[in-house]
Amino acid sequence: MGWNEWPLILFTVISQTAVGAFWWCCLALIGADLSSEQRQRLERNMLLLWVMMGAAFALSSFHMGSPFRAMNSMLRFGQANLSNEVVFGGAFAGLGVVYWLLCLRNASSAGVRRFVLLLSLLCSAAFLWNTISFYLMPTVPTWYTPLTPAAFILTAIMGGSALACVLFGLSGISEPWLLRNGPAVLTCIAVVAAVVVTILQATSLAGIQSDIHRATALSPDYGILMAARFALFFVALALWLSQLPRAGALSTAVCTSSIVLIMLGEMIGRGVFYALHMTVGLV
Amino acid sequence: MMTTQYGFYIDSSKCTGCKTCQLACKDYKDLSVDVNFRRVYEYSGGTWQADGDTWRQDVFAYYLSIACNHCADPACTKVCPSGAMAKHENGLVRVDEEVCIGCKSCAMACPYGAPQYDATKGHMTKCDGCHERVAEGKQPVCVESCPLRALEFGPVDELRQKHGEIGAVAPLPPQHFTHPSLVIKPSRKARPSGSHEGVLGNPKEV
Repeated sequence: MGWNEWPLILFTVISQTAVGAFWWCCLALIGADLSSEQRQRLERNMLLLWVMMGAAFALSSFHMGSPFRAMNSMLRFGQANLSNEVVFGGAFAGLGVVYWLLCLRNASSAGVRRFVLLLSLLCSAAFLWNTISFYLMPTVPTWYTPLTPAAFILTAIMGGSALACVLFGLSGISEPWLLRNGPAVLTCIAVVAAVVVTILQATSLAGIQSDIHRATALSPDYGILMAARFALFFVALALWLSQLPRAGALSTAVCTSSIVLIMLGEMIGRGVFYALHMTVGLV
Repeated sequence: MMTTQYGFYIDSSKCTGCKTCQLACKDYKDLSVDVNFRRVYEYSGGTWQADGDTWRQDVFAYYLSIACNHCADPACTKVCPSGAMAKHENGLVRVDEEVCIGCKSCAMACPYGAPQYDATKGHMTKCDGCHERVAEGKQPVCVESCPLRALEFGPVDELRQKHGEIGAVAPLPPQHFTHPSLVIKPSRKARPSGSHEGVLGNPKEV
């Protein structure tokens, strides 16, 4: 298990969860017919996303040997995926904070706010894509596969949906159906997709080897760790789905439990991902 | 910026795995315990095979002294977010230790283990081809130290003319990944890259 990469495990899972939840918030703010009170509460509660992004970036600095030089990580913007990731991640969170402040102070017109929100949305997609692209190194056969984008996007969908459910609950949004039950339904679909991704990965590992390393030997506990990961997902889903038939708003406590369990599961999955690092050669 | 591409020649048929090159480098560059710019890989394998009523063995072992291959298409420079890892004069890949943030991306990407994280310095370090010695017309310290005269350094085109085009044997990766500036005279028992016939004999040493 790649626990030695714990700053990157926390950074990727927390930031991707925030991205996914942000997408749901955009859908609610742009696509749904919210009351002005619901809208206002959601806009304020979105501060949680920016706190999470800040925490994710702060945690990622523990991965660096020279965190005081962190600004140098942006020097190759436009050329290196990691530079792009840092710039777009910073822009996503920065614009999000600007949006939050504009809403809080009730400053600027609705049009300007929406423009800032859409700009932040574009940056969130660019951020996620560059995070993925960084790991698609042709010399790292265990990462250089479509399963890497699949895994990272599924983290955004599963974690993001559960977090959005909490934000909607805190904002008193229990309608329409899409915002009340949609996140749970999408997470169910995503968990099924994650099962498929895991089966495909488990079978593909057997075929990946260099002259001195075998992918199957890199994470000997692959089976048990993935079983633990899915056990957490299934408990989270059971809690969450049990709320859906009831009338009214979903329990925020239950949704919070679900997001915690899903994020823990994804951290196990990400730990396995980093443990699977090997190159086509000597490393 | 790009001039002649320099590279290393390794005569694996001569190399006895004595590691003088590794230690000469470690001494000259004053490297800490966990950092080795040049490492000697022992690749070994073979088994007993039935031959009629008798059994014969086909065991093999050979050594490859590997530092940075100053690749023509390096994997490390592509992923570097700060530009600290870059190609310089003579095609040598060097890390600017004043700029590097120590994110270890280059170490993730390099299939030769060339970029090495120095925990005491907090950033990456690597073989720089002894560029200062080369500028003075000297050879890299590893080349000069080899008691078997199994290492050479110079313009890689000249090395290829002199010694051939082979730049990969097991356990090195196929050349197409990074186009290493490396020429190898294989050991008599060398296995082709990707043949999976042997194991790394000295995992704790590299």
